[in-house]
Amino acid sequence: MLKIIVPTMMLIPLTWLSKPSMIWINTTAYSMLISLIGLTYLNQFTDNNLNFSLLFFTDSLSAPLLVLTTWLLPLMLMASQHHLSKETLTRKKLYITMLVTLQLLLIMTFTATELIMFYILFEATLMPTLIIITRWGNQTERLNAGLYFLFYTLVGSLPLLIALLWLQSNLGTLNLLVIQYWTQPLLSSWSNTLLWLACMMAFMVKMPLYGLHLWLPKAHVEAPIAGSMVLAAVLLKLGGYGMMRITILLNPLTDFMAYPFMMLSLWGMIMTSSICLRQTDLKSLIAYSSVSHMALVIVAVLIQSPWSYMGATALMIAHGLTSSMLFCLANSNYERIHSRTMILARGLQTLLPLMAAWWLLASLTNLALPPTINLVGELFVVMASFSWSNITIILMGINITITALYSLYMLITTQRGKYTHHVKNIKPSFTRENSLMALHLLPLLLLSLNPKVILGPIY
Amino acid sequence: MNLFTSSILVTLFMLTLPIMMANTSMYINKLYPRYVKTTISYAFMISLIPTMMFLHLGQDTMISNWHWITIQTMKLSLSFKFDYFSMIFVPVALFVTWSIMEFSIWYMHSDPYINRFFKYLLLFLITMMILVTANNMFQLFIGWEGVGIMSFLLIGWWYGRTDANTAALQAILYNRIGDVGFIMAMAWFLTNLNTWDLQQIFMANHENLNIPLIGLLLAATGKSAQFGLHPWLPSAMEGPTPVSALLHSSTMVVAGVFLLIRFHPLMEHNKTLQTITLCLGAITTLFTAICALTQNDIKKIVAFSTSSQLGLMIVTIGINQPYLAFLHICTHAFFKAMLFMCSGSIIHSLNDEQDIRKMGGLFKALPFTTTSLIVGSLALTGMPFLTGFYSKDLIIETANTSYTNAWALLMTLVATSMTAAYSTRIMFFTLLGQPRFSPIITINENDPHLINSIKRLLFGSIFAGFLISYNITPTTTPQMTMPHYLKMMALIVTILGFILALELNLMMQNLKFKYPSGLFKFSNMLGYFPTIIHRLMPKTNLLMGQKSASTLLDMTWMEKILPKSISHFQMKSSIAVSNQKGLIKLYFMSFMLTLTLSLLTLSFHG
Repeated sequence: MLKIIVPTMMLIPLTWLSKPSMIWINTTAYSMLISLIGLTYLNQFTDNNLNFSLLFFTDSLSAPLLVLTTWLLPLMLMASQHHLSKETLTRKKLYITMLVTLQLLLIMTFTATELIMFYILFEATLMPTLIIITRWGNQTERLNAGLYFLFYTLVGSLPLLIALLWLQSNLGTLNLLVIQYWTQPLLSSWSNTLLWLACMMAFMVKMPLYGLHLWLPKAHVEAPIAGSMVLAAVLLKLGGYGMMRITILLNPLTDFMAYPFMMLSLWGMIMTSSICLRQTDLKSLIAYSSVSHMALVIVAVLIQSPWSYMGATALMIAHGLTSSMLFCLANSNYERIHSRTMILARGLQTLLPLMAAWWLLASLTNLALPPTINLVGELFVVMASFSWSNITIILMGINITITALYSLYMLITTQRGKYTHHVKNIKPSFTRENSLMALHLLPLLLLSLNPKVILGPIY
Repeated sequence: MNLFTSSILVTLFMLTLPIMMANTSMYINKLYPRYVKTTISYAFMISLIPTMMFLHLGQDTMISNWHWITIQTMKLSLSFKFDYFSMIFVPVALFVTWSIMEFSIWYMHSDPYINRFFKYLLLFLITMMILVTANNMFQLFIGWEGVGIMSFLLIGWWYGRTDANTAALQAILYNRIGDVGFIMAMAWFLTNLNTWDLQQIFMANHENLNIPLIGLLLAATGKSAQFGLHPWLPSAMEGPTPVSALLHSSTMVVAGVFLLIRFHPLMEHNKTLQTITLCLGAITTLFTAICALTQNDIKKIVAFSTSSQLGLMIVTIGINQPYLAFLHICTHAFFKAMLFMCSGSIIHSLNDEQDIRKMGGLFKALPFTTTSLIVGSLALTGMPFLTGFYSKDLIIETANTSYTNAWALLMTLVATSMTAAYSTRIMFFTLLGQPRFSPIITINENDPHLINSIKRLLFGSIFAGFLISYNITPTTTPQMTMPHYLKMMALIVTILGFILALELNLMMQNLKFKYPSGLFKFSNMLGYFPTIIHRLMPKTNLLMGQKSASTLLDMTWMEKILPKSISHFQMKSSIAVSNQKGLIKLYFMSFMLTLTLSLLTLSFHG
């Protein structure tokens, strides 16, 4: 594990000691190399897990998320170059340092063995994210967004700390590898209900569950591009990952407790999708579509069948790459049009045809075109929920339809139609941007060839 | 045997070659369209080998290779099924596409992105091939969604036009509603049968198959533009004419019917579903035929006639005759593609004029197109010994002699008669009478690309029905005996339609145009369907999205309940509890008072 952690740490001195002209190239190249190390973990030989030390392990659930995290750092660096071009050198370095710190914490979060360590790191990721949002966001609303982000997640996760302390004193350990053998069935009682809520709410807020999602559109919209990318791609997945890890402690109470949350999610995904249809703000649309997709993951995790776990894991990875790509595309529009309003960016296909191709592919993956992994994930979730209750297919069906609709609405509004006069003298798309999109899309396509590496532990 | 599988794989593989070539300098070349066209023609010729072998030997084949994924007990692999349906459909589709490709070289010659257009058409064809040859539902779904997305791209080809974009979005939306049904069927099969392989699905117990079959019917309704989900098909005429010829006549729209034919082994014992299918088809065929009667856009009339024929195919499935429906798919492909191409030729010659009221007298100016249009229309109406006759007449006969829902069958008959009526109307307005188009002469149909492509389909429209029905093995026992009037019924209603329409047109031509009646408006406004469904539903949904989901819940309630109220209470309570009120004089006063008092007490104490 140190072979990932130490190089990631060393990225910080690398940033500060590099020549001013080389900071982006150096960090991008080295972080890309680091991400290649992680790829080996995708090859899980057995059903067990890879123990690196007493503190760190990875199994087929965390390995894809780990790889996603390491893969995303170079992409974030590539995406932020233009955004920071007007800043001073120190600030650039500070920014990169923040991203690297976040990356480091995330890597450790996904591989932590002890639940309490997971908790500490989970909370620690808030700090760099908060700094990125509130320091480098574009508008004054970013402060409010940071406040929402911080308080929602903190209030959600503090009960988890208490629950973990109680579990530690009761079970004697919080080691994830041991705990599954020692855990007692959680019978239905008021105190157990509270325990269940305490354990789950932290992750539900992080996902976010419909009703607790207000922080997400604000944070996504106000964050700079790297912040939006990492929020959508990785930070939301912490919630799903945590839920899947902690539900082993909470059986059989989950069967009973899941109902209100399932209802909220199923209802919420339609509501958030229909909000998407009315968005004029591109980033806000993508943010709400994240909420709607994550609601599917919540449903899947709460159903707790093998198929639903596979679907949830696949959907998390697929959504991570897709939404991050959509944010990048939105940012490339923003850098040219200087507005997030969709209607100001009409008809860009005429001017930037290659970018239009990326838009098309991103929208198609977002609406889960077969045989992408987005479809694999969504299909498995729909299968699982259908076998849980046949009626859910109606809600799922409505959501599938609306998802297709807003994805293509986004595509048509930004790319099709007649272009407006103020976009006549925009810059062409850069190689940096095109390679950024390609690096998002390639994993999506390659994983479609062999989705089983991201299907999680049940596979 | 080896020749069978290898030649069919060569056919399929050849189609992907131009797509791969898109990365090379070939793609920049001006000859790329011709290259694509030639590839398809070769693919067609090679595909004849396995088809002839199939006709001769009659053996099904299934190829299963490249294991994709195994999930628990379910194995998914790349698997192709070459049976009766796919073996007959592949050459037909390739033949039609070949002609359409050649036609598009002529039609799209001035388009700057003609190479991309050909790539899209080819990609569409490939997804269609995936759809018809798939042996498991996942692969079928890939093809199914693939044709949907490619139709989105092709309908919205002229992306600067708002109408084209709306039509493309409409197509996707209606298809997506159908996809929900497909996904539901997939979910049901997975949950209950634990397989997506067709063979294993067909071994299912024939009880309680209502849920998946309704799902499949919904899927077919979306893709084949059946009543309720039909408005996208006429709107899709916003796309270029070759697109209409390929997608909306012979390939994509029949995918839904094809799906039902594929899954017919599950449906043949389910009376409920058959009745629903029959009624759905009958309503569609009648409704769209009524709509076609008063349209003035030539492409829209042809589109509605496609919709009506699709309804007829669904009716055929409803009376439990999947093989007949399949035969009608194959024969329909020839003359319908040709009708679209003829209207393309007319539109192009008249400087993009689509209104049939502004045509007329074209039989002198465009003799070849006129011939083809008339042959195509006659074949469409089921004139004896043209292609359409071999399937349509059989369908009507079988329907007449079957003892199912008489009401549905009557509707079908009326629709058949209307087919003749609107065909007459097209011919009457475009070909006969005096010219009504502007006198600028741009009329020219002498391009070999145009002539050859239409000619090939013209021969197809005359002979293909005979060839196909002569060669295929009989699958269902045909009705041998029936009364005279039933035997002649199809012909009689068709001729009735012809005569009636001709007389009406002749008589009404010089009359003053009266204020339209309610019936006319119903037909011309497409049964008020788009007005209601396309205005009211989106408006309500979007209003709900805005008002209730966004403004009410997100921006008001959720803000108020959690963050705003917490901060409000914190503020209030901190103000209430705190004893620091900012009354600086009072503080100093009390300070002084205590000080003086204590000093006084201390000093007096001493």
